[in-house]
Amino acid sequence: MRYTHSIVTIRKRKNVLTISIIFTIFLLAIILTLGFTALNAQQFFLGFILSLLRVSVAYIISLILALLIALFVFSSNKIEAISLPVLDVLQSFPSFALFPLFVVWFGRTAIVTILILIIAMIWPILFTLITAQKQLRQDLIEAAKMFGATGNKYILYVLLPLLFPAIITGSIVSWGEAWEAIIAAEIIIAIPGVGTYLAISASNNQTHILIIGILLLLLILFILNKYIWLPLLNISTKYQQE
Amino acid sequence: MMLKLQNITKIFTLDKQKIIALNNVNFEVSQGEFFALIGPSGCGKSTLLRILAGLEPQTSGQLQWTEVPKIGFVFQNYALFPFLTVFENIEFGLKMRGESKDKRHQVVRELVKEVELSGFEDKHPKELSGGMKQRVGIARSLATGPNVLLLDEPFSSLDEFTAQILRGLLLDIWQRRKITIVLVTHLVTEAIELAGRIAVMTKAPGTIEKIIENNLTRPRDLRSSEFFTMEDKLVSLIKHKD
Repeated sequence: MRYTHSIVTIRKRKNVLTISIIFTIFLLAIILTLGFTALNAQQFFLGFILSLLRVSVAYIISLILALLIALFVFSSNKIEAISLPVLDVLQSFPSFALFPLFVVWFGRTAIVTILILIIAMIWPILFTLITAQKQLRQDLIEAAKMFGATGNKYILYVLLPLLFPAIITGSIVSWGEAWEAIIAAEIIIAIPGVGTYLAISASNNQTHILIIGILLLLLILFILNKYIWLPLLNISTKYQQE
Repeated sequence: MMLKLQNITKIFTLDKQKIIALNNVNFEVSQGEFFALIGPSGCGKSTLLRILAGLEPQTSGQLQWTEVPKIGFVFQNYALFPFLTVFENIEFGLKMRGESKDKRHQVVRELVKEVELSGFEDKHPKELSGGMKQRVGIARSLATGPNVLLLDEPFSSLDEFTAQILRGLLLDIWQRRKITIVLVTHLVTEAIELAGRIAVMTKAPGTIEKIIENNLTRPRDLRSSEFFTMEDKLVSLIKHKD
């Protein structure tokens, strides 16, 4: 059983790899034949990398912040009762409303996009963590206590592993939100990045670059999901409580 | 004597209503004794066990241990950590205590043999049957070398055949290790087969109805007339109100 299963996975992986390679070659072919007029190819790809970098930085900060806030919320019933309504209001606050303020403070820089991204990315992680914590099995928490996992040991050896599936699902949603936010944010501030280049090509009537850009974005999303999130999701099922 | 309970009372407040879960519970458990608590569901037997384990405070009354209790706890639904293997689950208490790797491995290897889990060390709880899971639960509770073993309906989630085998295992452990055991169960036959003294509890409020000495010679024959007489005696004591 196990043997055939692994063969199937290998075959699937091979398919995915072939599809990715064909897709990339196809893209490169379009880029090379059509060429760039207003934008050069180098700039264009750099834009993608910059955007990806910003999302990654914002993600790491959001993840750490979400974990810290979640741990603070979990620390006592009283804190939870007070902080949950506050967080709920904050969550529904539109992040773009802070845009002007951020621009005043930091100018038209990448810091602003990262801040906007953090505001967009932190909530899905934080709220999945809070929901997951509420669904933790009481006897597992008691077992932890019974066998000496208290304080930081509890957090490190029991709580975080139990919340691992929630961290992954929250992260997937948060990356989804991030792409939306970064494209909008980059267009508004007009700094190099996916959003800006898409906007430039659109305003220059370079539909082919626009299409290439969208396809490239799809490819990046596909690769991220296939090679990072899906494997992590598979690992996290092992951590799921029964 | 190992432990003495004096006027243990537990009151829960639910929706501003006070519910007396336990009312003036008094009894003693001797060193090395196999003590069982039986009664209908809702009689407070599990609450009582949790108070003994220190998982919940009593509202009033005193709990006296004559020697420092080193408690092992076995949960009804196993409460195994899903992200750890069998080996790591058993090792957990020792790891939290900061025991060396060598010591941990030595203890776990012996326990794996004792509860007959050889060959399953690297499996995750999800891959095990109920009986196997409870073997892990028992081994985990023994790893830290307890002098009291508290078991909360340990075999109630298992099929009868498996439960019978695990009862045998528990008896072996008790006889070999000479530890004090307090078992909570709603199964009259289970209590008679295992325990030396059986406390019958009544619900609303939870009180000890009577404590019965069970001097049937071991190994106990579940089909003997003495066994049935004892069963009748206990059943007549359990006041079951719906």
